[in-house]
Amino acid sequence: MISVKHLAKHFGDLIVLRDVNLEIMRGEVIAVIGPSGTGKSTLLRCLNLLETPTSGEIIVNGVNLLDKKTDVYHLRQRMGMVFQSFNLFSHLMVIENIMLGPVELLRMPRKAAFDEGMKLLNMVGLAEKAHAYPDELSGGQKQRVAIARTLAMKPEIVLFDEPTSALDPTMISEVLAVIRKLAMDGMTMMIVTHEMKFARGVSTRVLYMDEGIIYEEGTPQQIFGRPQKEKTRVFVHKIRTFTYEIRSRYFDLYDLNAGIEAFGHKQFLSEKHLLNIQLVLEELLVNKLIAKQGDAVNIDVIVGYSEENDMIDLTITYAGAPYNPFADEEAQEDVSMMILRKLLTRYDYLREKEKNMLRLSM
Amino acid sequence: MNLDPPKAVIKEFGPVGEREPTADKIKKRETIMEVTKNSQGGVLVAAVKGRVDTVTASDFEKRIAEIMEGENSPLLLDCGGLEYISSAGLRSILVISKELKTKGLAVYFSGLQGNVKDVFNISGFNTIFKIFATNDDALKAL
Repeated sequence: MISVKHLAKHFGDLIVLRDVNLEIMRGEVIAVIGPSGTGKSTLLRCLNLLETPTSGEIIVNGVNLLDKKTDVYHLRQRMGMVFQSFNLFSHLMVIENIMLGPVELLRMPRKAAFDEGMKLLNMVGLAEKAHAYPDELSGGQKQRVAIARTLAMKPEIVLFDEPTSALDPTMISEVLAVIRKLAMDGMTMMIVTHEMKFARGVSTRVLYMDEGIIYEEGTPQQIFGRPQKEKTRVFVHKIRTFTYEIRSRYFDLYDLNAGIEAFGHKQFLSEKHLLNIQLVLEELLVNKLIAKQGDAVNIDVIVGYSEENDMIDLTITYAGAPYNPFADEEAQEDVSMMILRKLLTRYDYLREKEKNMLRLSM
Repeated sequence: MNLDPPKAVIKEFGPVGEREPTADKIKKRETIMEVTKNSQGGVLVAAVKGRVDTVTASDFEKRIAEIMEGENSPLLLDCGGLEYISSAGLRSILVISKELKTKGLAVYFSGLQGNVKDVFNISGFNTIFKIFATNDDALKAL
């Protein structure tokens, strides 16, 4: 369907895409992941010529997009794009935003465009908002309208450029549900996303971008479960863990809680899981470890989530004299310990290189 | 293409218009701990919302002490809006209970749910204190 060969994109001396080669087949759902600044959005924007490639080829259904004789506008109509910032026209009602492309570019009669638009709005759960203006909508609603607008042009492929990055965590699920449905309906899609659990669940192929190329690609199971290359491994590990350093007994507990909440939302952890992680850390850090640290507090917390067995692993490393709170006979009957023992399924203690380490699971 | 709305959207989020706007949700999160006084049927009711943890436990105790000032009736802690409690919050409850005992009174609880209910059960507080499912049940009994 789309063939990309030796695609390069430079911005002055900055080389964003060095040598990208890619085949996109009909019906594929390709997730594009990677650290910020590695060219994910640039690749997407090159595919529909929102950015002009420096060199290389983009062949769409046998037609070279970069050939001067190519009817680019016609080809572009077949590629829909959903942006991070929605990009709805604020002076038009929702239904008018959706009708604009079909009426002006596909020359569809207004009535037909209206009827089709209402069907699409119904599909994304927003038929009631047809006559509202974009400013009256929440972020998640705007993005769903943007998806409906894209679909109104009957594209052969839809490109999503971080569709949920600008959304409040509470609105992400509603947009991902619509994208998931499109995938089930067989729409060909390429999605730049930081939502890893979503990427794993909905995509048929994952591209990890780094160093200006597609650094590694494979099925979701291969990339998230058995990444072969070092940078991929480091990236996949990083998105599955949350780390926090504590260097003062007066550390900001709510800052830690906020970090846990943000991490947990990305992993789609339930509210109950999040509260339990916060509770375990509060009981352990505040009531057990910090009290024993003295003036120089040095505690590192790593929270990890294992999708395979739906377990949360906590690794807490702390300086000071050897101390295992779970073996502290004086503290066995206190309320903190009762809570910890009940919520944790594992609590192992190690002493390594003059540091204490607790490995916990829940 | 199948144009039926995804069931996940309707089931999870309800019909459009019923969801509260973002601004209200943000405002809610900013209220970490709040206690509101209310007397009903001769019972002093204190509705607790938010979190009672290491950071808010002492404020919680102070607020209950203010509410109890000059009152001579049992205290019902309405925990329907309480999202989180840690051992610090449980210690505060013990302090409050002890204070009421000196006056020959007791503290009761209603509306426990989620994390709070679990913590009460784990700590055995559900055996020490009388807990009602709802405010109405509590007010009928007291």
